[in-house]
Amino acid sequence: MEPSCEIVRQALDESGGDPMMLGEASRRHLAACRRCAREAAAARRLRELLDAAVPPADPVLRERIMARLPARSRVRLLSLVPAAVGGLLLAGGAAAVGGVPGAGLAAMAPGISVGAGLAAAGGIGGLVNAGAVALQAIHTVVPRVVPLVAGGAAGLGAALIALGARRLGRSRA
Amino acid sequence: MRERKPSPTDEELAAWAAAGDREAFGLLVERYQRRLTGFLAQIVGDLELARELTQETFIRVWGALGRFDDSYRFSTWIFRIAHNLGVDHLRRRRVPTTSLQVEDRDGRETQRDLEDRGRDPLGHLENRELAEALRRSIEMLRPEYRELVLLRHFAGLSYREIAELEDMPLGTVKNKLFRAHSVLREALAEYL
Repeated sequence: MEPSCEIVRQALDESGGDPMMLGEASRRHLAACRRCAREAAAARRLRELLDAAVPPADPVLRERIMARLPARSRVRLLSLVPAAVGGLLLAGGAAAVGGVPGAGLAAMAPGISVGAGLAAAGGIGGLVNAGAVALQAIHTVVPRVVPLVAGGAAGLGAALIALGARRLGRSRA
Repeated sequence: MRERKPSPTDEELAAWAAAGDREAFGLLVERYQRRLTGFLAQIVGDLELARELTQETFIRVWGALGRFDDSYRFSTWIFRIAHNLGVDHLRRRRVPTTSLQVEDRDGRETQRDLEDRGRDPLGHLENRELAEALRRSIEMLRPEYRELVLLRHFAGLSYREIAELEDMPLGTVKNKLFRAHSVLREALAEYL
């Protein structure tokens, strides 16, 4: 089936007026249709004009760009930053929840200090009772919050390590 | 530099450059610098500034190669970075879109005499009247058409690449460019 003028003109527009880019049926149509042939010529001239409108390459730009490139090792080191932060978070989180032998003391520290505070406060008398109640509340809440925060930090740390490993893997690929 | 086939793809060059192969990156610079500058010059309206932004684009690309997802085309990735840089620059500096038309003391519109024709994105065209007509024609296009014309003719992207970059169906890109070309041909009829 012969393509319509509209189809041929759309194809000419895409090809920048180059008939060689058209299918055989469209080329036959073009050879027989004066209006489409005029469209082809106009499309070609517009493409040539737009091609000429792109400024010529700057001969020194490449050297300037290459001279400004930082060393790849620096880029690689930067890609390790998330992994390093992740490592610290993971270690800190694990220590806080007692995952590292001996480091569980860190998790107990708030409890010890709060207990000491309560004892001291009790000795001073009634006026300090309000403070003691507040400390008691902290004593109750802190041990619950610490594992949550530490767990979150450990999770975030693990994710950052995975991200860093992926980046490093890609830059080596 | 590693042994490579005669004409590596952009994506292959990008992978080698990500591993530290500067020569591979140099080839990418050669392939893209003219098109990037032409594209950016049309966005910011200043050729010198476009060259600076072209440098900046390549520096960013070099730093971000590790994050390049090779399931996409390198061409669309680099032009997206360039486009964002150009638009950010316009927002930051509030650079006016260049209009070479100014009014003289009597209120008549006259063409601004560019002190440095080297800054004019179309300054290399010898026919100044044609250059001015072309500049006006591109400027008067609807923004969505203008964007596609810049990507097609100044960035040199294929219809498929434009569709990917603009996240637009291929048919829509074809239709819009067809209309944009019709507008341009009408506006430039006396020169075509």
